[in-house]
This record gives sequence, C-alpha cells and structure tokens, in this order.
Amino acid sequence: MTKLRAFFSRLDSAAILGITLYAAFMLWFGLAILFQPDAASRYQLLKTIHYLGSRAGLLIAALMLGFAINIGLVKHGDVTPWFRSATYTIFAFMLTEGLIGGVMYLMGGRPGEEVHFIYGYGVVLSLPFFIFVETTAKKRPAMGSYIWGFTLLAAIIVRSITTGPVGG
Amino acid sequence: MNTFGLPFILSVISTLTTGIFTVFVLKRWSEKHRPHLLAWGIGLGMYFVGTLSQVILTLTWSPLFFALWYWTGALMVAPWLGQGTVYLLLRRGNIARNIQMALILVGVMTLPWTLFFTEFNPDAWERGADMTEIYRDEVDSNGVVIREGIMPGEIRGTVRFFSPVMNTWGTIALVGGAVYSARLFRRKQIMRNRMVGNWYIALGGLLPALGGVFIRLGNPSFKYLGEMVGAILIFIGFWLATNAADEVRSVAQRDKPTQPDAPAAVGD
Repeated sequence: MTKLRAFFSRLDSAAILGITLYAAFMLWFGLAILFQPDAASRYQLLKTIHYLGSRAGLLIAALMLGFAINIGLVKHGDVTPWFRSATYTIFAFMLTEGLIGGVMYLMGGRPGEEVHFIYGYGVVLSLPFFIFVETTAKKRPAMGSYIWGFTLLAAIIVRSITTGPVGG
Repeated sequence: MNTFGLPFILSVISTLTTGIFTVFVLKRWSEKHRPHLLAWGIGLGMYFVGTLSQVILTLTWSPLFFALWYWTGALMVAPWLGQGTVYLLLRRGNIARNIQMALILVGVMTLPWTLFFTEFNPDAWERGADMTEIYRDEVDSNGVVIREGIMPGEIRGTVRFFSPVMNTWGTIALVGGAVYSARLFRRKQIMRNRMVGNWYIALGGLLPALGGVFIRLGNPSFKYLGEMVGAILIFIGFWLATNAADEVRSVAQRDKPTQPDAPAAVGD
C-alpha cells in the first residue's frame, strides 16, 4: 500500500490523465464484453474495437509525429512530461490492441494475411525501443527518438491495416 | 554434385574464422563497453551464423538453417556491420542509437517472418549446391521461370522486400562511412589506422555482396573465397580501428603524465 501511494505521489498530472484514460477505456471494455449475450457477439465487439483501434492508432501516431517534429525539429525543444505520458498511454493502447488480436485468434478468427501477426507485434514493439533510447539518453534534447518511433509506428500500422481484413 | 568441394571447404573456413573473430570482438566489447564494438560483434556473429548455416545446407536440407542463412546473409550482416561505422561517425544526438533500435525492430520482425511465415520449396534444394543459385527462381530472358527456387519468387509483401532495403542501407553505412572517415581523418591528419581500418571493414563487408561478379568471373567458388576473405578483412579492419585508439591513448598518457585520466580518443 505504501509503495502504491509512493508510486501515485510521484505521478504528474499528465501521467494521471493518461492512466485515467486507459483505466476508463478498460472499464468500459470489460463491461461491454461482460454484457454481450454470447461468444459470437463478443467476437464481433472485439473485431469492431480492433478495427477502430487500428484507425485511431494511425491517426494518433500521425498526430504525435507532427507534434514530435514541431517540438524537436522546429522548436529544438526536448520531450515534455505531457508528450512522454501520451507516448506511454499510446503504447498501453497498442499493447491492448495486440492482445485483442491475440484473443480474436484464440476465438478462431484469422487475418487476411498471416504476416498480419508480424506487423501486429511490430506495432506493439515499435514504441518501447525508442522510449528506451529517450529515457536513457545522455544527450539532450532527445525528441528524435519519438520522431523515429512514431514514423515507424504509423508505417507498421498502415501495413497491419492492409494485411488485416480477410480478402483485403 | 561434389558435396565436399572447394565451396564447402571455404565455407567451413569462413565459419571458423568468423566464429573466432566474433569471440575476439565481443570479448573486446565486454572489456570496453563501446557500442560500435557490440555492433561489429553482432554483425560478425550474424556472419558466423550465416556461414555455419551454409555449411549445414551443403550437407542436408533444413528449413531452420535455410531461414537463418537468409535472415543473416540477406537482411542482417551488412546493416549490423554498418551500424558499427554509424556509431563511430554519427556522434550528434542519439541518431546512432535510434538507428540501432530501428535495426533491432526490423530484426525481431523479420526473424519470425522468415522462420514461420515464409514457405520454402525443399524440392529445389540439392546436396552440395550453391545456395545463392538455388534459393530463388531461375528465369530466362523473357521472365519465364525455368527452375523454381527454394523461396517464393514474389518480393512484394514477402520478407524478401526487406533485403534490398537493408543491404542498401548497410552498404551505404559501410562504404559511405569509410569514404567519409577517410576524408575526415586525412583532413585532420589524425588516426590514420582508423581510416585504414574502416576501409578494410567496408571492403570486407562488400566482398560477399559481390557474389554475382565473382560468378561472372567463371567460378562460383570465387564467391565463397570472397566470403572468407571478407571475414578476414573485417577482422583486420576492426583490429586497426580499435587499436588506433589505444595507441592514441598511450601516447597521450606518455606525453601528459600529470593527467592520468586524460580522455581517450573519440570513439575508442
């Protein structure tokens, strides 16, 4: 309990907002799944969320790339707590998106092309590598890491979208 | 086809030399913890895995070793060797570290792709055959497939798409890095060994890639000779480039005995 309190006392408002957003989504998601009448409806809901999540992910990755270019290349600034918290939150959503895909696979769903799995796990892995570079960077500013990260994330999401739908 | 011919023997020698060199470079990295040493160590390790897979594939068919042969040889060796040069030359910000992360990301994506999601045609494999000649479809001048290869002919949407991208990047990093450092060190009149070392690494990295040229010279075994000589040149280059820093450091320590903690040369 003390550790948990210490953890929350260290969080800034940006991190609290990110955690709240994610927790709210997970609460809604959990309840929505729970109240579905049967497995087919649950699968359909997962499919819809997976579909919308990928499109929203692409849009947000493009937006974050724009912010990163503006802060890093135009203003020559460093990563702000808000930007970092947003990146962590996006990673959490991308991980959830990947897990939803895994659950859909276990329920018998299959993507249009098998390499969708590779791109899916590329989507999950793309941000942590660059978060690692930024958080351990001795040379500042280090916004370049997120320019790389969000460029690759957006590109991999595009390939995930094109290999995902059956027959697409 | 003669299984234990010259290509096989040269592949075995390449495997042994790259294996020994990998241990040397990684041992050096464990002592100094310099990122370019780790990148070269990984590149040489990939080289070792690739040549070892080539030896095994000369003797028997194995989808695992074929996937490793393709993944290391076509996708990973050149960019990882180039990454060592990138670390030495791109010192601004975190560019080199970011490129390494992109490289790792492509590596962890393409390895399972090659291993589990690429269909191989084992009927195209022949005992003792030159792998670079049988891994892809053979086509005539009209583009008609004469003989099917082990890998699918399609490039778009397959793991083969990454091969030109990675090799182009690796070659630019290796050769471009060597040219850049040669000009830089000549202009500054410093660390000639590092410049020469980079040239050796660039030449060593290029030799296996010039397989087609060697085939046109009339004997495919030249290509295996190129692989073996390439590994040796890379090691000589590594030796020259890293020992140059030691020489600079020892000279600095000799000339400035009152400053035992004088910083080492850039990039050692």
